Amino acid sequence: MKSTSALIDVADLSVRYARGELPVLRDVSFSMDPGESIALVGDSGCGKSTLALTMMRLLPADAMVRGSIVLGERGGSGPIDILGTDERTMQSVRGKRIAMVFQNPIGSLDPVMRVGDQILEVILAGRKSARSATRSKALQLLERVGIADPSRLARAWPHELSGGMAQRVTLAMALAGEPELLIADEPTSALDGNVQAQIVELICECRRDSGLSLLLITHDMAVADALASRVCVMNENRIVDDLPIEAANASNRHAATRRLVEAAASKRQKVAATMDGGR
Amino acid sequence: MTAMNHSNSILAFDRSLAIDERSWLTRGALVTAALFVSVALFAPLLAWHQPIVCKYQGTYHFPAVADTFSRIPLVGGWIQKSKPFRFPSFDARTALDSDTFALWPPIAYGPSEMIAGANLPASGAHMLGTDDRGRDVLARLIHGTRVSVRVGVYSMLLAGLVGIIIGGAAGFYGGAVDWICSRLIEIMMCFPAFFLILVVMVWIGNGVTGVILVIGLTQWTSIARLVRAEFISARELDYVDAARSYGATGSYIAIRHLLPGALAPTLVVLTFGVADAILLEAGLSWLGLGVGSEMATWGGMLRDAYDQIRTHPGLMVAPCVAIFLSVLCCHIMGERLRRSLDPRNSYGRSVA
Repeated sequence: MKSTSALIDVADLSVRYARGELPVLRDVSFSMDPGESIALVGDSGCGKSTLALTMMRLLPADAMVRGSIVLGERGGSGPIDILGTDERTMQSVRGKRIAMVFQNPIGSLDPVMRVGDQILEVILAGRKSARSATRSKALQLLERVGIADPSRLARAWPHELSGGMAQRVTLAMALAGEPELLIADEPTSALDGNVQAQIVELICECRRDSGLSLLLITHDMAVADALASRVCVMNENRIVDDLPIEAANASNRHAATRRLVEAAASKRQKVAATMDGGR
Repeated sequence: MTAMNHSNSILAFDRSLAIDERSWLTRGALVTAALFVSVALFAPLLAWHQPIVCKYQGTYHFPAVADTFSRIPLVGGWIQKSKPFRFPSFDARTALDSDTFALWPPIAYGPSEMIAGANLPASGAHMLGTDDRGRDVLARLIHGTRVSVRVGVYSMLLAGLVGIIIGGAAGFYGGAVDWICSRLIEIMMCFPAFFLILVVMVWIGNGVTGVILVIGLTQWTSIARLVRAEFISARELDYVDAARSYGATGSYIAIRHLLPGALAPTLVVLTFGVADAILLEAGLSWLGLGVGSEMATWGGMLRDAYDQIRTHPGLMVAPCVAIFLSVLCCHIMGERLRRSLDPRNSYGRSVA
């Protein structure tokens, strides 16, 4: 295991399922510096979400993983080899060093637990603190993700929330453990356009406040543009381009990159056209 | 516009149906069930061969009260009946003079007391008459409730515990554990339950504890299968992945996230199971293999009545009505629970 100053270093990562014929990830390498924000873009099924789950070591038991993922040192503890370490260490990494926001915000909440209780559970996990102090921290978190009336929302059930509200709540839960790295797996794909913009804005704010690193998984170059400084393009289970966001628009790029950029541009034109037509 | 009106009217009809059901049928079932449970808890205060309160040789005694509370688990051991009333040979009825103070239960006869003539018709003294051995039918009915409620509740608590542990382990761990637990469930289900229970009862002999154990340890399979299915389907849901991504441990997820989701449908099955257990116990007692003939039970009353069904058919009525009402109550409550425990409060979701 090499020591590194990077926040997280993924090297030659390959994943394949025992049942499947083809690998779902092939020789993926990239590294993130502390505070950096990277967009991982690519078509559906190109392995973006698998990469995220591998970084959290949340893959199903029959997944065969090769390569290495090293989480940088923090506060005296040495670098952690994510793929090699024991489950107990991983439990202390998940939520507290790497947190994740999922694509389906309402599905990410336990339907039979009140929203406030779920946030409390995350705060309490692995920590012994006074219940009342925890409660006020939960309300603070909800306020931080832009919820106007936190104490009322804390009493709500997940099915009473809109998609945007639920995504704010899951973001609050992800931030509860004060992680260094937030993996956001298509955080806006299940939301409608207006709410998408609000969530993007909110993630921007959180990053500004806490120096959080962000690994944003998306197929929408517009969202990537707004949130990331660097973009990794995935195509057919490998990373084909890794470049600053401004350079993604240049013409001498991989075909997959060009396709995504063009798709985003044509979407912008379409939206503009419809808006003009409406006037 | 017409289409909208149409759908509205269906919705309104649906709602009124639900409210209607909540108002009288469910309430009736709840009240009846509460009645059964209170009768079971306070049986000696309603029908007993010793008074609730009496003055005997200068001191006050509370024999029926002591008999009521001495059967409460844990604390009951501290309660002792006062001296002469404790002895089986002591007959309070003859020992107490008519002019000494004594408050008797509304039905002043014990369930096994043979005091009056046999097969008396209903009268002021014996509201439901007496049976072939001169025992008060209402007193036997009241004390039979005690056995039925105890068997129904305790056996289902046991079945629920076993079912949740085995089904939960199968659903949560999967793989080899699931295989073993599932085969165990299937083996248990292969036996015709009633005959298995019969054989075991012949082997271990009569007794309430025996009946509870046997019913509890044979009726857990449907609960185990339900809990297993709930765990497996919930395990694949996004919020379990999300919980793991916040650093939750496996056992924590099983208890905090998977179990609460499985508990609601389990409670529904358990409520129906209480009805089955009451029926099973009545069936066993009818065959003379249940609780034993020294205790009054509904099934035992039916068996005694059956012997003289041609001469005194009226004796069948009281235990039949009691069994029918208790089973009906459990089913109505189970159905109501099934609907109301769904957090989304939809009418569609059904439990096997």
